[in-house]
Amino acid sequence: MLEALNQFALESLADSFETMAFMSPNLAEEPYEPPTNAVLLSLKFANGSCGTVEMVASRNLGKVAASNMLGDDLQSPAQHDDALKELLNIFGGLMLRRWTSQSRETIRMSLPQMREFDTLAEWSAFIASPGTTVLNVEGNVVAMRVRSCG
Amino acid sequence: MTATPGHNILIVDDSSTTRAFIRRVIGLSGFQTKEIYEASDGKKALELLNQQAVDIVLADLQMPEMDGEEMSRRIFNDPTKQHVSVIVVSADPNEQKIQSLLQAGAKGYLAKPFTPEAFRKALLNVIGGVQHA
Repeated sequence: MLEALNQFALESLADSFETMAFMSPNLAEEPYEPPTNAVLLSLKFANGSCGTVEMVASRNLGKVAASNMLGDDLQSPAQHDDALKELLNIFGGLMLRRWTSQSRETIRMSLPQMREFDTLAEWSAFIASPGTTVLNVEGNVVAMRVRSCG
Repeated sequence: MTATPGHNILIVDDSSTTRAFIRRVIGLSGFQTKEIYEASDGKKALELLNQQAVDIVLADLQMPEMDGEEMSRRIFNDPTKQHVSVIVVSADPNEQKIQSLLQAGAKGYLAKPFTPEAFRKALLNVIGGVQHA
């Protein structure tokens, strides 16, 4: 399941960012520089399959995404964070729709959560974990992975 | 629904960015609207529906307080709100929930992410394909 979900995750993240925020993600080149002023966004899913979608990104990505989505630069820091959470929500939902169109499961998805991410303490372990993909979204580093329960 | 020179639209979504994005897409689509209202959850949306004449509700499903599914079912079951058209606009992957809402009375469904053109088509379908410029 995880291998398929990670493949869907990559496609779904790219489709979501391109369609909603007009941003094109590409695979990042090593060595992966950690994002500054970073947050960890997560979204849980359960029922048949069960797991968590996680994404580490800089708050600057939220600023650029909000600016692109709304066509101006007038958003507050809270809206930058909101844009990041909504992009995770959209990409997670798209990934799970693609997954369930094959698996025929009914999956419930949680609201996205966000917390500060300590890059010094957490970055190396995050990108070293199996299934993690590191992307360059127009100059912003984004790491994402899907983990199953248990 | 009878097409009129402008519709009152209520955007219900817990994301302020998405509400603003949808408002922008409506504007870019060339739809003539009378008023565009916003609510961040189903409870606030129902309160607003009791105060304002709304024609179309664009309903997210996953929201705190009262989610879009419960809000939509309350609209469908309220005899005073039978003129209100609900379009589900959501990233929710639960296909059964979507189909259940369409059977219960939702007039359309648009999955996130959506293009402005897909959004425009969803709105046109609800107002009968007639758009006054």
